[in-house]
Amino acid sequence: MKKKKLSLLWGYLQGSRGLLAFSLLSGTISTAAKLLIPFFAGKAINVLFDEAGNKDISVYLVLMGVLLVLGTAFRYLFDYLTYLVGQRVVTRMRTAVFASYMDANLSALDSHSEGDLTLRLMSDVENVNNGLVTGFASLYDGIISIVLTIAFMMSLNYILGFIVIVLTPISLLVSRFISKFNSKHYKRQGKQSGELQAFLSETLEGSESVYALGAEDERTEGFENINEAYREATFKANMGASIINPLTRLVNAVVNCAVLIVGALFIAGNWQVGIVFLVGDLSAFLTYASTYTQPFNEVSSVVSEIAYAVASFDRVSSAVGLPKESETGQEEILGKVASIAAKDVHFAYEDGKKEVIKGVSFALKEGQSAALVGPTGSGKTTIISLLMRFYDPQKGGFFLGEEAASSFPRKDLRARFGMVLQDTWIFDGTVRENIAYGKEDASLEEIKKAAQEAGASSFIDRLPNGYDTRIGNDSGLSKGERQLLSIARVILMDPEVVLLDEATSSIDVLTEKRLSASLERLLAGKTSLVVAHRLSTVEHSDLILVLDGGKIVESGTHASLLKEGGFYASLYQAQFE
Amino acid sequence: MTALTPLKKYRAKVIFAPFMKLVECVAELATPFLVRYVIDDGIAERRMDVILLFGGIILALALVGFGSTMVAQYLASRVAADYGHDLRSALFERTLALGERDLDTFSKAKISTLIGNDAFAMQNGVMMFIRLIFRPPFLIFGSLILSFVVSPWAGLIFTGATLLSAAIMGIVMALSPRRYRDIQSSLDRLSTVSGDDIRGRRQIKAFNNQEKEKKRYYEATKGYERNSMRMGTLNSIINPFTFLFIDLGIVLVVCLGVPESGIAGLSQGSIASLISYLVSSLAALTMWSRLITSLNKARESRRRLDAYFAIPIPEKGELVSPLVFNEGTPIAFEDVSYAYGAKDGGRAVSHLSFELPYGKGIGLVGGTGSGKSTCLKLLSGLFAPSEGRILLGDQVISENGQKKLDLRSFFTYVPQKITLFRGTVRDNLRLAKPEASDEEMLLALEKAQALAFLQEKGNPLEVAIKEGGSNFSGGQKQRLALARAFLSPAPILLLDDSLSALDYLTEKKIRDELPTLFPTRFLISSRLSLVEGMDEILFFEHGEIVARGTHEQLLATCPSYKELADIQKGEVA
Repeated sequence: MKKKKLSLLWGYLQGSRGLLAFSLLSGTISTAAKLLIPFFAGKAINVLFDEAGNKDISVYLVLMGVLLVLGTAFRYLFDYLTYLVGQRVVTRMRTAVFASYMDANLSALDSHSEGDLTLRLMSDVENVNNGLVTGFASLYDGIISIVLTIAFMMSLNYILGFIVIVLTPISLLVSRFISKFNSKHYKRQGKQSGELQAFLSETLEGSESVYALGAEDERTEGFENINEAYREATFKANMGASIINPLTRLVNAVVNCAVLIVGALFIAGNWQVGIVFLVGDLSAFLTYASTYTQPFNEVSSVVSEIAYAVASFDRVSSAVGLPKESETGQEEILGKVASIAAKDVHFAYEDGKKEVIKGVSFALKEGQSAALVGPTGSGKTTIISLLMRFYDPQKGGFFLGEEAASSFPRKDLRARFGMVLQDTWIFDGTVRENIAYGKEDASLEEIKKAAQEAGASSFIDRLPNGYDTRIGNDSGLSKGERQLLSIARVILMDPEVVLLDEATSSIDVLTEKRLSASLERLLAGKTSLVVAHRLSTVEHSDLILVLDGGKIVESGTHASLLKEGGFYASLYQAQFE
Repeated sequence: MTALTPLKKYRAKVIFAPFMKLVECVAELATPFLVRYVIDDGIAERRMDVILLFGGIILALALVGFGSTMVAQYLASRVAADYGHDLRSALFERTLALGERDLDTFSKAKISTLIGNDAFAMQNGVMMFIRLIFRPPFLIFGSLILSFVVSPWAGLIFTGATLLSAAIMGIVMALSPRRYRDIQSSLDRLSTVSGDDIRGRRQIKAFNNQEKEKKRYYEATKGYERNSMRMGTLNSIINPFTFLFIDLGIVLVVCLGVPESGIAGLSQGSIASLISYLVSSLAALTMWSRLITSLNKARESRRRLDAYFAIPIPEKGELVSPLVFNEGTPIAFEDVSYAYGAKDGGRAVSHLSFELPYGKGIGLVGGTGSGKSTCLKLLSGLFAPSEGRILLGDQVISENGQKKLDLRSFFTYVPQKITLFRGTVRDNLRLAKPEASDEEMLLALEKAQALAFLQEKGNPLEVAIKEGGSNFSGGQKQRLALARAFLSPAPILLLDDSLSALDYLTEKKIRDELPTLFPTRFLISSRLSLVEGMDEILFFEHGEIVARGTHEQLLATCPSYKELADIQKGEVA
């Protein structure tokens, strides 16, 4: 890992650094205590069976008693503190990523899919914790354990110790080799499982068609083919995985057996190599040899988690580092917005890419209603986003009165503009909270009044808990009902300017009719800009802007445009054919 | 049938395999016992031959154990894979047999989880069961008995240490599910908030609510942290306490060697082997707790699967042919009602009674939820009426929730939600008529106005269709589905708003084609232009037919219909 990454990670550990250090210290103490017990047990056995000695082992018993207490207490501290630090880092990191999402500019956010943004916020953060915080701690613990075990074994009998150190890597190499071989099968199993799911969801989603076509047998046959391949992949993956444990046990058994035989011969043969090695030592040694490999398994699994975590940490860091909405203006908006004007606005979603707005200019006075019409992809919705300052134009700009819109803080500008988008947004909360989203301190009366005006009150009253009904993104509200709530939200907010992206034909016509009535009430007396998909809604607009290919090709009132006989007139005629 | 039924086929293997596993356990248990001989008889008596003999036996046992375990592992993997396969096949077949109505009520996402995750959990459970069901208890109880054989006191120490460790694990396992559920629900909350806010990023900015959302999210993360910590605190007690109990056991075993303890006589070898038993029993306990956890998971899955298998499969109805149609055969609904499951809030059709002549074009019009789609689905046989009956001539198609006749060869139904399946255009068309020739298929594509855009992509019948037809636009998908319907030999066409994404010109071409292809046809359309010229229009409101007649008649007599017609003027894009 690079230095920079480490320092970033260090940042998330703020407030938990002392705890982390203490937890690592606890881990060291508890592991040492745990390993010292067999050591002293062995020494005690030596004393007990020393024919010439006094057979007094009380010193060892006291020592072991102390070690038991220390080991227990510090093991608890280690496990608990590691977990605590990990959770704190998770919270800190999630909060940072989320704050970055809230403050980032929209082009930066939009360049990621929603799934990707969620992944960074949820699983990637979790991965970083598993690999770099708790994973790091267990790696540390495992290494300490291995180092100490080797040290104790060496101090008991370096020749036997040497045998163990030489032989155990064999089991590690073998299991490494098998895992590598297995990962191929796991991948295949994963792939087959993905195909199975895809086939399944295609069938379920299209069940009406399956039944209507009588295609049950064909689907069953298709499923069977994938299921068959999945069966074989599963078998191979399972089989490969199930070799590892018995094989490791076998290698361990062989090593232990070697230690036992050589160690026993050592004592029985009374080999003189300058080491005092007695039965108690052999017993301790056997305990070490049998537990020696356990941390290796842990370490190797942590190592792969660390690799994941580093990749995830990069993704988290780039999420936190998303460019923010730059704040350009400090001016205060004085009085009411007297006019809104666009002057030669050019805009491309990415610098150097194709412009979607190619020099648009228009002017709108206070209280006037304007409509944007034109074919799909002509740039209508983009103009609304630009006015809300979700994006900034590359050239030209918008003006409120005499002042450039960019000279005001975005926050102040947005406070004056109300926006209703085609894609309605309902969040998890009550109906009341959803309506009051633009005016948090609104009273229930105000909220009800807004709902009434929006034409939403009749369906809200039918909901099980009325205004306190909990709703959310998938709570079963129809598209039309969601639209009505969004409208109520803006009515309650009562902004000076309303920007509206009219819903397309996705809702049925009768709901549509109800909608247009409430929209009329929303727009009444306000400065407004409406992206219109039906000509019937624009006939009474003060100004119609006809957009085509990112340019305004015509503008005027309904009557004047018809008289002109241009693009608008031909659109208007088309509907009667 | 239950979730475990497919396992019956493999009964012999399931029973035999764990016994193979036992051989290894016996070897593992025998080892410390033999170590005792090496130490007490070999080392103490300084007999190299004894050391080598018993050392050799230990090695040989390890090898035999490994061999028999591998047989067990093979059988476990084989049985698990085969069982998983059979379970999934059974689930899939059952799913298709259930029919649209039950699929809808049960929720398709749930079925997907059943066949995916739950079947996988069962498969894994079976494997773990075969592999581990005997090993941990056998090792633990074996060690227990053997330590009693060494010395009753040692046996008591062993029992105490193991029981206490098991108790700690048991307590943690008993307390975790609730905590786990809490974690899960705070995680759900976290995903809801982040999902809401990522989706609503524009609106949040528009309402200047960034700080409020940050707070809402922070609270959700804090909630998650709190619940996680409760779990963490609980889990943190396992390691320290099992260490305490097992190692306390070791210390006590050493004490048994003290001559003054009054229980003297425990040899060095006995002490060494008792320590080994204690160390390995902890590993066995850990393994046991893992097995229980994964079996618990499988048990949950099993409960869900059993509930799914318990849903009765509706009657399919017999396929009756030949059924003769002629100009005079009417299609009749007699007091037909239909209710969806509770989740749709009872939106349905109620007491529909009407008779329609054969050979006419009928339009169905109305708002969302007015019952027109349900009416068409009832006709197509996708649903059977909850009450009342549907007749074709004097034949009862379906009656009181039961399908009497399978009439799919008489109706070709194109649902509102078009589905194309992964494969080629040919594969998809052949679903409607397996024996169709290339010429027939090309003709159908042409009539459905689908030939031109396919030709741009190469040989029309060979054009690949991605999953769910994602490489085609909505309008193209509709035309392909239409071609599929045109190919079907069924004489009656049912279209549920299947032309909605077509441009005006294409729609008109297809509209002109329909009467000659399908004299009898039922069309739902949100655009009145499509139904204006039909022989008769049924106007639906709140699950009932409120008016019927020609376009002109309805304009004159039905104000709601007129209103609808007025709104539709003026659509541009």
